[in-house]
Amino acid sequence: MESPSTEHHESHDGAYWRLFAALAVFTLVELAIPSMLPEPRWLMIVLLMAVAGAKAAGVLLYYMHVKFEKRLVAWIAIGPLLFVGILIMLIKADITEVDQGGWTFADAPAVEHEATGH
Amino acid sequence: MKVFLTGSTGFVGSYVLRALLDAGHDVRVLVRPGSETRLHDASDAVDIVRGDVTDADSLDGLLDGCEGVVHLVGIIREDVSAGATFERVHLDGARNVIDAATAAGVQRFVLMSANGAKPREDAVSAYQWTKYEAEEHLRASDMEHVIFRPSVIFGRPSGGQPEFASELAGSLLGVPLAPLPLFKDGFPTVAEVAAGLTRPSSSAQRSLATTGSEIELQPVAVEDVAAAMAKAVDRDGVSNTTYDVGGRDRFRWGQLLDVLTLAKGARPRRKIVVPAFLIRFLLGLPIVRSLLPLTADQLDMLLAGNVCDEGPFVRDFDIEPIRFAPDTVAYVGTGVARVATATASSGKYLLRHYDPPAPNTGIGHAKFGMWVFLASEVMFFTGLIGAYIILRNATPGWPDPGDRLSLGLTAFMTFLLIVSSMTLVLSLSAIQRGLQARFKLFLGLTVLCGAAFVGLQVYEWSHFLAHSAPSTDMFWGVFYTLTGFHGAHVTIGVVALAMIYIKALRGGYTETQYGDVEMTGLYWHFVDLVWIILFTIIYLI
Repeated sequence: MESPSTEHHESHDGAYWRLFAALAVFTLVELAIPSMLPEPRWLMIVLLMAVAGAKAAGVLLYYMHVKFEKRLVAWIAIGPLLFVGILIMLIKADITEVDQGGWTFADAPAVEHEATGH
Repeated sequence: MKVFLTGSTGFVGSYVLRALLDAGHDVRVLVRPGSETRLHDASDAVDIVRGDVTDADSLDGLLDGCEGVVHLVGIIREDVSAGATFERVHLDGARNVIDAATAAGVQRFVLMSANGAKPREDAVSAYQWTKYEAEEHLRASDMEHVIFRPSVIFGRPSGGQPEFASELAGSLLGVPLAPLPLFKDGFPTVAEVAAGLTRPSSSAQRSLATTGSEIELQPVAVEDVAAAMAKAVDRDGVSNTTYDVGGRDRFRWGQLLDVLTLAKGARPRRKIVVPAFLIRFLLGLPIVRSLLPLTADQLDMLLAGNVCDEGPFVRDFDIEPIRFAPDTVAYVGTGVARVATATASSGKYLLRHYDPPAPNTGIGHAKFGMWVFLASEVMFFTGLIGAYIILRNATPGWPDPGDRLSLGLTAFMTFLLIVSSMTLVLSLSAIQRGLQARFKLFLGLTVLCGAAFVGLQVYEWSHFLAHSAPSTDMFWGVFYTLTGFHGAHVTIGVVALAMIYIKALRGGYTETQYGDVEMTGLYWHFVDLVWIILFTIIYLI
């Protein structure tokens, strides 16, 4: 029976602290990428998504304990990503259509271009 | 040792068979023709023979080569139409097996009798004297023998096997809100009637649970019974002994019902004193008899009590009795994790976040459910992000996020969430090791960081909304939608964590009770993970 009362718990506190440091550093790296490497844009996007993916994987594996759990938990966590992939592929098809001018947003309001940051 | 086992398809028998195999014995099991499929553990070490204990001829030669016998066959209700009477099954059946064992030269015979077995003139039920006379027949034989007289036996049944706790919970607790009967010889007193009208959680009700019925039971775990029986076939120093078999604790009827109620995840139910003669009268009515969960024999035996001195049994077979408690009888419940805190009459039984065993997945139900929920959340946010990607690509002139949003503020908010994830996982780690002060410190910091994130998001939104409503343009539309749904998730998490923190300050968690923290933690880290993605695609790209 697996219940909280019967599980044996090793301390992973060291790993948690190291991951925290990595997440903080990666966040700083993310902030620097757009200004330091604005072009080519596709490379900037790939780098930013790679860093975000690494951060997310760290949280999933260590803070959510997937690394220490039974394999079934990993499958439940990974399973939806298959559908995420399918959805993104379908979206990509839509975007391609848009690029070819076959699909437009007739009612989409135009974007204002004045800066309103604070 | 080659051991002949009867009753192996029954509740106790399935456990005894497993225990015998685990002890390294070769087991020959007797099954009635057609009952082979009810055998739960037909491994290579099991030799299956077919016969019927009530038919002496069918046993001819079946025990040849066996050195030990464990005879378990018994019934708790007679079925006269099927010929299954106590006399035929308990007495004739045992005699046939004992005689066949004697003829086969068996060295030791282990018999399952019953607590309360007594001579016919003293018995209140045929159940009791047929068990007793079977014992006497064994004692008169030349074989070494060990006789077990168990009180009520509890344990997880399989495949619809009748089991004491499940049947009791199913019959008496199966009707919602119906008061639970405390059987008593004679009329209830005025005080007992008055106590029956008070709230189920009242002190009068708690008192009634221990005094309202004289019935006293000493439930023993089937694993303990099976372990002892497996040892009895070849252990020195136990032969020609009759053992009373009971658990560590004695329960009054009302207390026992409280334990079962808690095991089902419910709060204590109202109990009322019911005169036994009234039940006997009802049991005399054929229509009612079929509806009630017990027979007149069983009622009489219950009222006679079913407790014993378990000392010799525990000592001679090295048993560490499994207690009869909400967590050990949780199989009577629905299997749904829930929070139930209640006071049982025999003491405080705390059933917090009990997570019943999950034989198929190996993961607690609550955790499994949380992960499936998070999987659905992945799809929820993927839908939102997918819509964002389409809208962004379809909208000409998408602005640079840095021109509209405050990157510095959001970077700080991101840092807060990262810190909160770390403090929460450290908090969980602390409570798992029983470090209360550290647990509360890190949990409190988590709540603070989460609340600060929500506060800063409210500040950010109020600033933006002053000049840019969601309908202003597509950028603001998707910005408010994505950060809004995420912010709602964070807010829910903060509220949940704050509630956990308050409970933690009251000592609500221990190194064995921390389900809230773990489950809410999974949710919180997921919210952090989503923010990592949102922060990148909304604020940076």
